[in-house]
Amino acid sequence: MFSLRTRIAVTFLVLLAAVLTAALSVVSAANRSNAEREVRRQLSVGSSVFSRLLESDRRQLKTAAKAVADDYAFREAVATGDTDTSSSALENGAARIGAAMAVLSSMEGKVIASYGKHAIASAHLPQARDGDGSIIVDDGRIYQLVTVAVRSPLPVALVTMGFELDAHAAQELADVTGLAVTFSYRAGGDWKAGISTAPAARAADVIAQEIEMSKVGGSEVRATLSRSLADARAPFERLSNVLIGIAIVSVAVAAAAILWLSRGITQPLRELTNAVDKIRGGSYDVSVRVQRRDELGVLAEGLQLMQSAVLSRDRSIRQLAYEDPLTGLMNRTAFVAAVGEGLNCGESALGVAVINLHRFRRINEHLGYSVGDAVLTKIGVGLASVPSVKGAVARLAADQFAAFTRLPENVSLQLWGASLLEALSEPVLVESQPIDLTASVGLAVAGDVRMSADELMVCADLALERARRDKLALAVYDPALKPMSRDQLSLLGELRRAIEQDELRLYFQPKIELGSQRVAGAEVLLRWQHPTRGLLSPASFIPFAEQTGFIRRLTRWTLDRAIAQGAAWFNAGKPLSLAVNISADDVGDARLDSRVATLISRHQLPPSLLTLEVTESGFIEDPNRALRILDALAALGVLLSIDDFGTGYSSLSHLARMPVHEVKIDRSFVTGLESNVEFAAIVRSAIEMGHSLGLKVVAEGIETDTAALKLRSLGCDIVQGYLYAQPMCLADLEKWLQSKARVRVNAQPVNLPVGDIAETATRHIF
Amino acid sequence: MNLSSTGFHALALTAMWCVGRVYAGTVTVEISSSGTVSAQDTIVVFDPLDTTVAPARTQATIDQVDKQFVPKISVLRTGTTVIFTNSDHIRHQVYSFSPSKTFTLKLYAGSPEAPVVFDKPGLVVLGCNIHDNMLAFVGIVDSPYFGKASKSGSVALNLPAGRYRLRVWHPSLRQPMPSREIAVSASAMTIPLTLDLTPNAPGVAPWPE
Repeated sequence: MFSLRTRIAVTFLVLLAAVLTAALSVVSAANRSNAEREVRRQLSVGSSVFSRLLESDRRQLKTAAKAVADDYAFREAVATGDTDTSSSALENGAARIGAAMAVLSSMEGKVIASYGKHAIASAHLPQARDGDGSIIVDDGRIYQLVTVAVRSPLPVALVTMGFELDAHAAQELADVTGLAVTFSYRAGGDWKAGISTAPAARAADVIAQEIEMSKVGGSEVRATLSRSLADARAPFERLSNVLIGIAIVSVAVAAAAILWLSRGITQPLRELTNAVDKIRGGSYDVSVRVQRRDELGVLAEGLQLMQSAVLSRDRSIRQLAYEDPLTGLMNRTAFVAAVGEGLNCGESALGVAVINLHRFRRINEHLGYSVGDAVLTKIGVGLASVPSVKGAVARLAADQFAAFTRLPENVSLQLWGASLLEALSEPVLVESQPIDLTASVGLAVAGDVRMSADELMVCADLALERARRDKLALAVYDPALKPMSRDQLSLLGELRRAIEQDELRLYFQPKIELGSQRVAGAEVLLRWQHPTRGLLSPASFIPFAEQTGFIRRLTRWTLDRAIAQGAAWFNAGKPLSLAVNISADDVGDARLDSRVATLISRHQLPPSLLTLEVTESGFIEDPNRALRILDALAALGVLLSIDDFGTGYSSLSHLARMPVHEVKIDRSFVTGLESNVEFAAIVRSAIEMGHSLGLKVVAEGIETDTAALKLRSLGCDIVQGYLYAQPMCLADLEKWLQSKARVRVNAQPVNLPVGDIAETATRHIF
Repeated sequence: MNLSSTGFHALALTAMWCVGRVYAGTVTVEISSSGTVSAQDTIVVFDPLDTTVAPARTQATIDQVDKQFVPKISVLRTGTTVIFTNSDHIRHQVYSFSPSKTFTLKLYAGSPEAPVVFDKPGLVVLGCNIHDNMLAFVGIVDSPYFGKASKSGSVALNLPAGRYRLRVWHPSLRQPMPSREIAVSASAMTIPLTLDLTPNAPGVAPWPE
């Protein structure tokens, strides 16, 4: 494809050339026909002029001859018959007027006196006297004869004079007519050319006209007037040449002008194109150098404006993607990417700290969210101002920050962690009010061992978990103390993606009412359909999820799916009570109740069909808070179950105050029921205690008929285990349920005031 | 002076000269033209064959009016003295190269220095050198019996009885009429003549001798 510039130039030049060629050919054709017409017109005029000139010449010659004949003395000599005198006077007069010949004759034609080539003249006397044959030829020369009478006073004699039509005369005729003059005469049968002013003739290029001058007797004379077409065309051709010159010059000038103009268009266009290419490549600091006031200038200015608009939009998108909007610090994505970069290019050890603020939720609750936000902002600023951090600070979650640094040789990870804690030890001043905060820091270092950023982050998370559990301000991830294979670490990283990729599956293990052998419900369990490792049981990923706090997301996801499924069955007229596990970490989630409320409201599940199994260890860290959460959940109408009952150290007083509906005896006691007497005692007392508190007692892990009989004898209400049914997928469960009787449930329709959150929350935000 | 008075004058002189002779009667010549011009001014001369006539000593005048000789055609007896008067305001030259009388009057106004005597019979053609159109014919005859035809072409003469040679001349006469003898008796007679009078430029009819 040709460039715009070439196309513009070629188009206009071709047009111009075509117009000029057309004009030139028209002019040229007109010139050619004009020249011929002009020549013909000249010939027509010229021949008329020629005849008149000849006549005029004849008259002049006659006048001259008459002057001689009228001379008184000559007349006297002639009249008195003085022949000698007459002869000499005739000669004198003829010479005076330049006649080539002269004859004096009587009226009867008798020669009296003569001069020059009189013999010829004499031969033509009769004709000359009669007026005809005044043009004669002799020896290739052409003469014009004139005859006048000698009067005394009557004509007594005639004077005949002959003048040669020589080259000079021909030239004069040619000059006056503007035509070439050629005299020719008939000699014998052929025409012979005499005097001629015509150049060496090119017959094809000459237009001629013949004029008969004399056609008497032996002297046939004619003149040929001619004009060369080439001569006639010459001025037109000069004009044509000038026009061609002008055309060439104008094409050249036009070419230059068009190139200049098109350059004025294409050059800025090229610059604009280059600028666009650079902008497309992602650089937004291109200066578009088109300083013009025309449309291109406007376009360049628009491009410049667009560039800065794109730049600012790009910045804000980057901020949204990589920046925490509240503090302006990096978000988790940006932080992990920054850590990854640090790992890739650094030589010395890279330390990562994950910082968790203690009881930050209280600040929000008691002082308001604006104060909470201000505190978070100031803490972010405080952490960023630690010299070793140099701004490598991120806010990972509501009350969780992170920082990384390249550790010098002489600085230990603990020392760096201490410097972070030091930065947090100062009370934060919000609205002149000092607020004291404490925090736990989890530290991890990527030293000799190759680690990914995700793995390093998990390590720091684990260290933080330990610090929180052990009530420490600072804990360092120690691979020796708590080994975690790289396999597991990467598994945990993949777990984040499992939810997004929809790799998790709900499995159900039915619960059986021991007395009636009817289906009392099902416990919801998780399976992970891993793309490469196959179906994974919860034991392979739930502990890590709990350790890293990711369990909350898993719980949310499970609740959502389980409640949806329960609602589906309920709507289908086959209600089934479902139990979902709640981890200890979930109990620390202050918004758990509202999340559950939102879900049962959204899916329209009667709350009594949902049982939340809370592990006993969930009450240990903060029994009061756990109690509040359980109360809130119980208020929703859902059933609560204490899972792994017997393993924890929950005091009976606490147990009595808790709004639970059942206890679930830990499987370790059930499996050891037949062999271990102590376990049997524990199970018995647990069942009795449960019943005495008005709770139902569930036993899990029943694998043998003996255990089942034993539990029945102990008065256990509900059992669950491989003996009855192993966990199964949805399709299998529905198939399995077809042949089973169900415990009749008293399910109340949902009627919950769930508030604004429930209305606005979406599944994904949740 | 005009043409007819000149004629009459000449006749009167002749008559006086002839007193005492016997006149036979009047001879009338009736000339008709078969040509393109009329017979007026045709010169008619009767030369007596029986007698000789002495030269005349008469005078005549030829005037020049409006660049024309007046009269244009005259007949005079041999020996007549002619005065060439000039009535124009311009000057004229008068010349003749005719053999019977060759003369030149230099440019003059009014009356010439000297009259010209026409002393030989014949035709004299007069011209003016500066006016080519001025032309006059003067017939010089020995006979006293001559006349010019009137407008109607007739000439009446009283001739004594006897024999005469009749001759006629006109510038445009194509065929010279052969002279013929006329016998004049006492009774009146009429001679009818038919002439071919057609101009033959530039020539002029020869003079009948």
